[in-house]
This record gives sequence, structure tokens and C-alpha cells, in this order.
Amino acid sequence: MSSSSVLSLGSVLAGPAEQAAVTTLVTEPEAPVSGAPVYAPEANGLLLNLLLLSPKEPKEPKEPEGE
Amino acid sequence: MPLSEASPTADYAAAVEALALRLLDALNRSAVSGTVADHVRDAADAKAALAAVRVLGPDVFAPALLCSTAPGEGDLEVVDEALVVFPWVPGQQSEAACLAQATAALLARHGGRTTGMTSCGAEDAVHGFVAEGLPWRPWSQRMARLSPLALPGVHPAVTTVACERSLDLARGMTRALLRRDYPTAARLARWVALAHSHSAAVDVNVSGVVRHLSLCGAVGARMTLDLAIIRHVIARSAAVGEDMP
Repeated sequence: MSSSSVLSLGSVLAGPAEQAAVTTLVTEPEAPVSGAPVYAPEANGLLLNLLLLSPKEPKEPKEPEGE
Repeated sequence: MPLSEASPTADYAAAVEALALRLLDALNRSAVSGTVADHVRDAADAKAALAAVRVLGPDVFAPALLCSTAPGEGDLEVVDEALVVFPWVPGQQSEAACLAQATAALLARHGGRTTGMTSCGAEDAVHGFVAEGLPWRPWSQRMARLSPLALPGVHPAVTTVACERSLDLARGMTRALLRRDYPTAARLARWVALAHSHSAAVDVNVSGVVRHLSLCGAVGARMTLDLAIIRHVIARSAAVGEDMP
């Protein structure tokens, strides 16, 4: 295909779907996948429950009285 | 759904990547003439190839602008053809319209034929769209979409706005980096580098951002082209005696 045959497309205007495809590519949105940490309010309750339900800290065993 | 009614977006996106690869090669070899014409001539789908020209807009002139050479006659004809096949609505304020108007203005500046279109008033319309007083987040997203305008000498009025809001550009770029949205970060880095080359006060290490993006995020030809353009802008700035941060 030569350059002149390419220019013969001039009479073929892009249809609505083709125009929309170009607009979509130009107005590309932000990337949907983000690795950034985000605020998660439900995490507050989860952390609080884990804190309350966690076992007590271990203590040193008592030494026998006989010694 | 029949093939004829399927959205051509995927085909057009592939064509954009193919054209970006050719422009990147032209930029690296400083061989400008015939790049865009060859892209359309060799394409299996000429309309998708023209759509790629329309999507990249002023970036098809990037090798010519950065290497200070003139595009070929065939290149100018293809750009004109892309604007005819994918016209913009006069008076419409959108990123697509701005890129088309800026492309038409560049075409006229390089002596190309602008069939049935006029670039009169285009620069004012683009400037008005960019100069709207949006908050920094939506405004930086708009500027990322208009990143093909971030080339030396393409649109002085828009560059002035970018220099005035360089802090917002840096904010948007940093936000995109934190979100790991690397294509958006690269596009905004183009504006930051251009603003800095115009002596705007931007306390951001653009070279470091480019290096980070090259190592972590440059997976597509278009993004690699963005990074190559930034390096050229930095090199040009350094050549005239300005140190990039």
C-alpha cells in the first residue's frame, strides 16, 4: 500500500464507534490497580478485637518454695 | 456480536503502541522523515494506524521538534488525513479536541495541508481548557491526558500555565507514583521536566523519577517514548546551561 492509497481514505469518515474508541484512548483514566495503602475503617474493629482476644503475656514461673 | 460492530479500541491501542515504537526509534536515531508515513503504509489496518496518529497527536512531531529537523511530506499528509478521518467537533472542550487542535496548528506550522480545517483560534481554545481553575487532582489528570502537548515550543501559553502550576504537576506526579500508576506519572513528569526547563521552581528530582520509572514501570512503547522525550528535554535544558535537579 502506498502513501497515496492511504490518502484515499479521506472520504471514509470514522463512525461513532471509531470516534468513541479514539476518545477512550485519549481520555484514558487513572490505572485502576493501586498498590498504595488505603484507609480501611473496618480494620479498626478487627485490630481492637485481636487486641482484646489476645492471650495474656506469659509470666515467669514461680520458683518452688522449698528452695 | 459481529466483528463489524465490535469496539475497535483494542486494535487502536495496539496501533498506538506500534506508532510509539516507531517514534521512539526515530528519536533515538534522529531519523525523522517518513516515520509516520511508513507506519500507515505498513499497517494492516490503515484506519487503526490513522487513529494512532490522532491519539498521539503532537507526539508524532516529537522527533522533528526534539531533533530540530523537518518531518517528511508524506508524514504531513498522513497527519492531515488522520485529522480528516477523525475530526473534532468545533467548539468542543475536551482533551481529544485539544490534541486535535494542537496537531492541526503544528501541521500548519510545518507547512502541511490542513484539509477542510482551520487552526485559527485553536491555541486560544486549548489555553482556555488548560487554564480552567480546577483543583490540583482533576487538573493534573487533565494535564496527564494532554501530555503530548508537553514538548518544547508546541504551545507556549499552555507551557506558561504549566509553569505557574508546577507545584500541582509535582503533586499529581507524586500521587501517581505512590499509586504505582506509572503511565500517568511519566506523562506528568513530562510536564514537570518542561516546566523546569522554563525555570519554574520545581523541587522534584525529575531525573530520579525517570530512572525509577525506567527500572520499575516502563513496560509499553508509549511510556518508553514518554521517558525518552523527558530525557531529551532534560538534555536540551542542560545544553543551554540549566541544571536539572
